[in-house]
Amino acid sequence: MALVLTEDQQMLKEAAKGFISETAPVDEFRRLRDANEAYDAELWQQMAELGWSAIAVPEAYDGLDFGLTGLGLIAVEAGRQLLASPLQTTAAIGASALVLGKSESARKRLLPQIATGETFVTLAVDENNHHDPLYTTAKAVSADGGYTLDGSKVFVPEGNYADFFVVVARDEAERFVMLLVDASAPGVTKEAVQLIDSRDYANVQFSGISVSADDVLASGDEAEAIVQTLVDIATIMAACELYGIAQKAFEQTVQYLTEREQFGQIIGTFQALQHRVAHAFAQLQLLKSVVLDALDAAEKNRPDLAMAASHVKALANDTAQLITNEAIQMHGGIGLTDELDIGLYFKRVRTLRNAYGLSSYHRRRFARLSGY
Amino acid sequence: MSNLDQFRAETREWLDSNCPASMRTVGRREDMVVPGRNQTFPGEDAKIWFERMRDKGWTCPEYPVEYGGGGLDVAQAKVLREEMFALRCRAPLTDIGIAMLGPALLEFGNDEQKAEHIPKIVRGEVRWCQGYSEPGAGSDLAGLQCRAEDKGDHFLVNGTKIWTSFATESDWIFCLVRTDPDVPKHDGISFLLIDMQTPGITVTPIQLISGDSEFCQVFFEDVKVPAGNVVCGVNKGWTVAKGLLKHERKMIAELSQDFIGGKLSLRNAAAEYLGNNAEGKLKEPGLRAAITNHEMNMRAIGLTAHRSHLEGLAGQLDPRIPMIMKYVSTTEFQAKDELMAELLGYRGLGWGDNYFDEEELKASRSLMFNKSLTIAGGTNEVQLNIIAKRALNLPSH
Repeated sequence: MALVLTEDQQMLKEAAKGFISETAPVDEFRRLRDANEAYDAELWQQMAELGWSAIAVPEAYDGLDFGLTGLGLIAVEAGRQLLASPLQTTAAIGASALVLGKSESARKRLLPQIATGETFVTLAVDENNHHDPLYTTAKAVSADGGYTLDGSKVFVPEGNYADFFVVVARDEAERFVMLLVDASAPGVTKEAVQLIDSRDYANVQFSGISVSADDVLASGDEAEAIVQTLVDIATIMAACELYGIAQKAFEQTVQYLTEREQFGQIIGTFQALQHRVAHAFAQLQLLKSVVLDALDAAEKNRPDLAMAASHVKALANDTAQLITNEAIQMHGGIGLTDELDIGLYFKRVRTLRNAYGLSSYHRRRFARLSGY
Repeated sequence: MSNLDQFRAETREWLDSNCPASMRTVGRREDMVVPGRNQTFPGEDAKIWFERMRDKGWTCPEYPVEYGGGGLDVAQAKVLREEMFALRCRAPLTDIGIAMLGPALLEFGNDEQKAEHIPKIVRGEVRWCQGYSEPGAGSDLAGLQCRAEDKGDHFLVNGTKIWTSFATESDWIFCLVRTDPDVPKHDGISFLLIDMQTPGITVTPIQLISGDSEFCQVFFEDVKVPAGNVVCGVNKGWTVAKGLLKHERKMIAELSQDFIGGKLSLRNAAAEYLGNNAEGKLKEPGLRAAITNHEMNMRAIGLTAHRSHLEGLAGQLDPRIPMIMKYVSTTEFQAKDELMAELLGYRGLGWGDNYFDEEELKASRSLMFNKSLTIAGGTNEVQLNIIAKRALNLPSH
């Protein structure tokens, strides 16, 4: 278990922290939100030049093959500053879909473009108000060695500007298939959906889409395991972002407790508040360990990946919720204003909790994986 | 092969050929070796295993060789722990002398004190108990009143200590005593080693709600203690106490983790006492979620203990982690007891032994006895105060 970072990973983390907090602090997210933009293309190009878009891409496809832990560490820092970018969807999840998938042709075409940051790929899996891949109803019917795809996906992150969708569907035998679909293909229609976190989401309709054999990433009996692994990676990335937000909201709240005075005293001297932040701190430290373990599980595709993913998401959901709720309560009325970043953390946490599964879903799954 | 690799290979081979098979299973509380004048072993294998480890100094692997310890450096001790873990070897002896007093004496004791006491600790020839709390000094430990008057060649001790575990069976007691009542409370405390056979000492066991009575009250009436038994100098006891308290909290945190997963795990109990539904899942969805929550928390605590250990070895120890471990692990251990009580229903509340099996009786006793985990060695509220003050630097009044 890699619960302590290697020197290279530590360097990457420091570099990411420095770059994001200087170049893309929370104010940058506010600017995007107010301008109604999903991401900053120039900033993304800089991130690509730092090599971040190439981290999960194998060297044979012009990537760095640095491992998913590296991407997770950047996702934590992105969480801290609410950085909106295609990093998680494309560089982590999109690249992993191609790496895990069985189409060499798709790998050759797209991985080098993902590595340079010029192509965006996003996973389209959810069909309901709650994440649960088992409820997939999108239909893939065999045709010409490939499939014809019909179905709809909801709340697809970065779905309005992605160039490709990785779509999870079921074949005639109700087995999973995972297909690569060009966003500009005839039969793809998108509708933007606004959630409280002001990020880019799309509901996407796929009508009679022809998918060639080259774009079939997974099919047959092995597809379910591939879909699961990919969704586990996505789940862990969301947990990393939640961890970053929780850290930042916590730090800001502790800082506020040392500044705000009431009844002639710094409110941080009140034991009622001290015990609550001390409890939150303990939870945050537990989460850190589970995050590092889950990243290791993803990077090495450990046999207990599913369990590690469900564990980390449930814990990250709960901890980030606890901390952002406490952050608002301890800030009082000012915590509810748009001027303070606390409210922005709260909103992002609420959507990330739903991304790839609420805690109740992951508890159920953890219990099932444990055999009870 | 590096020296460390060679040490690992030798250690593995030695453990494999010297650790009896029955010592490679998870030990229960009643399987522990008892040190001291009443030294007892739960069985022949435990004795063999203890003696072999003792003769290598591996009851205390990191203690210096001159005191009978193993003399291992940090990296070697880690290798030994890893190899013992891999072969599932039990610790040969778990004891507060080894875990708490020994490290404190090595840090704060003088040469005579170390030479007299540490070899006996290593060889399991002495059982120590801890005289800290008093009836009027619990969470406010530094408010202790037990007096030790300086009479030149000896101290005259008068007062009482409470919640002293196993005092009736112990050979020696290490005590915090008041040597100066006229200075700020932390500055008038000394750390004193007292032979329990000294005239004037009486011990009364305290009956707890669980029926256990391992906690005792110790009374001192004109007890003469040689002047040489003060550790670290007169009125310097708080320094020793703080150092030692860290070891105590670590031990309680580890103890809470070790005893998880007895024969009756929560999931087995749930299946046995409540039953599964047609899909093979636990019938009661609320309890199923609560069990999952507990198992997730235990996994997180285990990973955090492991992370802290690895950080220490890498020279990157986060000093804030030990502060949270007692709080999180004792809380979770009690959560397990509460869940077990709910799963077992009336069967988890047994007292008489005619209707209940051993595991059921253990569940009801644990439910009560383990309430002490969040009180002993600093209450959880004190732990949270410490986190707020030292980890988060929040101001005090």
